[in-house]
Amino acid sequence: MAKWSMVIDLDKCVACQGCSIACRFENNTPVVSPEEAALGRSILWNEVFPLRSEGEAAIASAQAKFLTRPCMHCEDPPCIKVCPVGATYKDDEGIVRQNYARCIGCRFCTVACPYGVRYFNWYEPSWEEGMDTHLNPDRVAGRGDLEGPAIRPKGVVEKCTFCIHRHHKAIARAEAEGREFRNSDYTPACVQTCTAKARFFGDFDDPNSTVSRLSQSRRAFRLLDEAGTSPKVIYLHEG
Amino acid sequence: MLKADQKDKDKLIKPLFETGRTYWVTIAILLAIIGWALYMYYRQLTLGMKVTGMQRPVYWGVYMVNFIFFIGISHAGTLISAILRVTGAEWRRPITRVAEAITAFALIVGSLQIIIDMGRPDRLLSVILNGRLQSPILWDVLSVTAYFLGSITYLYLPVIPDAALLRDNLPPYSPAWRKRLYSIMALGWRGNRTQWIRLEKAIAVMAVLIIPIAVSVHTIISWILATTVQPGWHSTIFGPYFVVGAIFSGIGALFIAMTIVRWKLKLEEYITEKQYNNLGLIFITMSAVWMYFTYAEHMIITAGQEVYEFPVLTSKLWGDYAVSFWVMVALMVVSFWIMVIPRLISKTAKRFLVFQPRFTTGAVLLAVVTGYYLVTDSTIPGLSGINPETLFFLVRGSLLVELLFVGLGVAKWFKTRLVAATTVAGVMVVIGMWLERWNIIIPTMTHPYLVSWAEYHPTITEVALTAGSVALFIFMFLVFFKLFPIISIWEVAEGRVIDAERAKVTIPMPEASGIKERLRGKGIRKARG
Amino acid sequence: MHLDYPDNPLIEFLYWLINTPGLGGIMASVVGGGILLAVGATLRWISKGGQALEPEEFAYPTPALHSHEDTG
Ligand code: SF4
Ligand code: SF4
Repeated sequence: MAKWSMVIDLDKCVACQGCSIACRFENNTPVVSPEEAALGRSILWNEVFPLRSEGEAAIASAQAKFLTRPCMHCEDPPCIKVCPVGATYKDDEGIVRQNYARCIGCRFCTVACPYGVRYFNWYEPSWEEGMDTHLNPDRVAGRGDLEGPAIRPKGVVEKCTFCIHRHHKAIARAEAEGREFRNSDYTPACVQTCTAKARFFGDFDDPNSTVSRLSQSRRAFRLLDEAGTSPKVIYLHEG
Repeated sequence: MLKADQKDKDKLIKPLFETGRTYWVTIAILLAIIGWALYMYYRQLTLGMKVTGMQRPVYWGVYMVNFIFFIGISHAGTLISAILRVTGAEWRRPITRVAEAITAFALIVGSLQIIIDMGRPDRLLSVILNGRLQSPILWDVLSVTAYFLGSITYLYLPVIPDAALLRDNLPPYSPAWRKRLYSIMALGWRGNRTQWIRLEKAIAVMAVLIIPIAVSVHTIISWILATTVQPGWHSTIFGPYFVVGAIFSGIGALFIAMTIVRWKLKLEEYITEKQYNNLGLIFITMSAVWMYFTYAEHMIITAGQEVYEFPVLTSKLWGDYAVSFWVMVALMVVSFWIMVIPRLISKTAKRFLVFQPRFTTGAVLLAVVTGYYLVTDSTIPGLSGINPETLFFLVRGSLLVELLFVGLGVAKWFKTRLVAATTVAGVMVVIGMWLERWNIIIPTMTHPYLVSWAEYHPTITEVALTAGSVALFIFMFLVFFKLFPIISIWEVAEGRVIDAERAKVTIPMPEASGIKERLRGKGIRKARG
Repeated sequence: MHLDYPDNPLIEFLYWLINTPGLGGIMASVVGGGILLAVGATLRWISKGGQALEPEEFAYPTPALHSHEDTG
């Protein structure tokens, strides 16, 4: 059983936000109006933002350090512990998933996640004319749960799923082609799109995978390690 | 056929059937507010939660504050009346019903807040169908359910004999449905010995059972916050801190309700100064414990070297939330002052200048002038020669001294007005405790770990739903006490009997000569009796 | 580093207990239902007390009632 993990090399990252956009189209995250975005209601499963400690001055002088942040898919995720209905759960391969059909919108998980990864649908998602006919039709096969790129109803929480539907698609394709599923068959959209090739994805349990080897790097660190969440997204320091 | 005492009939039963204009006007106003809130809630349902001021990262706002606040208020009753019953405090008798009613209604309104706060209230049943015991929300569901059912029962049990009494003593002009209501509520109460004994047994058992449940309820509510790793919340002190705060605000609410009831229904004979005095002592204790916890909670953060907790603390001390934090502190300190200081100064304090009204008036005027200079930052004529730093301390120092004198004068005034002092303190504490909940939730929500800091401003929807919740609470209270006597008739009667028995026992004055001296020391010249 | 629990069937069972959706609801229903049953039984018990063959009826718990309490 694989343990999916991601490594992000901040040295290579140019903060182009390509991952954010790729994620948006892959997962049908709703677009919000500028007014709502100013209120802090934009939904970006993979957000690229300047680190707070750098301050306004640093941003102005283009010195700010940017961070790109998907869900950490924590080994010990605080979000799952607090969900009263099991709408968010960790599957066998360590991916923290979200079931829109069951979420009651209590927003306990959004409060519990230290990384601000989880987003709430403050209203019915909508797309501009033309956009709405080009949504990603992929769906997660399963118990009829609403997951991944499925259109969310209002009032539920959503988050990065490491493009879980791509995983399912890759398995289905391998099956159709009559071969074994290979770990390299499955890549999330952000990894695929990354301009600077700063993102790596693979099986952490396989000692020869790129992510395993990169995680041994001296530059490797985990975000907010002190929160005790054991993230499966590993960053490589700049410089 | 049970016969009610004439006094009870006039004072307690009659008002149930005679409704004045004020009552209907109040009900109409309350219904209007509730209607407004309902409309706003309907908007929230159809448009989504965007009509609130919440956003990322402030995922919890006023609704959560209200939830904790109302559940806190609910500790008024059951806990207080249960503790007093278990410890056999006789003076509790006239106020138990009011306290228990506050509990039941505050719990209903409090639980409603959670539904208001949910993004998908239509999936409420999912909490039962898919409930996971690991989530603190489930602990809450368990303990609040137990507490709600328990306190409803605890409210209802003592109503049984009163309902029977009402059933048999209805005024001739009362509508027929009320007779039916009371007969059903009385459960065939006959008032024979077996029934009385069974009732008192059941009440005694309930009183014991309800105490741990009540403690668990507010502990668990605090754990909803404390089981997350958010800066400022992850603290072991939260459980007891919230329980104490809950009892504290509960007593405050009880004071307000008691005073209104006593004044509107002219129940001075039933609710006497004794209730105010004794409950006031509990209030002072809770106030002191609450301040201790508040100090401990904030003080430990300063020593914790937690970089993520400092911004939360500083936002309260001198940042965005300084106003709500210091108003809360001021309300608590002032309420403590007007409860404690009047008890300390002697009746003859008038001899001293500082306690005389003209002195206090002077101090008030001076404080206003000083405050004006402080706020507007204008130069004080004649003092321009002084070094600005010295002036800074001079102005603040003199304002403090003036306020102290005002406080002393006010304390003297409250000395002879126990009910007024207690009620004012009650109002202050209820507001202060709402602010306390606010100060715990919002600063942490706006200062998360990673996401950039945010601001939170409640919108009109949240204001409307808060007002509606308060209105609903008062509305339920008014309706309930139009149907059932505000004072537990039989319990007070039982108290009268006990008092009468006690009065028969006379304790002879000790003959030891030392007694006279001691009495004289207290200012009593002749031994009475 | 996260908490490492020992491989112990009891701990595994307890984890299953708290982590399975639905069990919480069952627990809540048991607690709620249990309380309701207990309350109903108590009320019935009090009400049934009225059938005792005692001619006296007391509107209030008067001394007459209390003086006989230990024997009753
Ligand atoms: S990063 Fe947040 S949302 Fe993702 S698994 Fe960890 S706690 Fe959950
Ligand atoms: S908002 Fe949804 S996913 Fe999050 S804790 Fe509540 S029910 Fe679970």
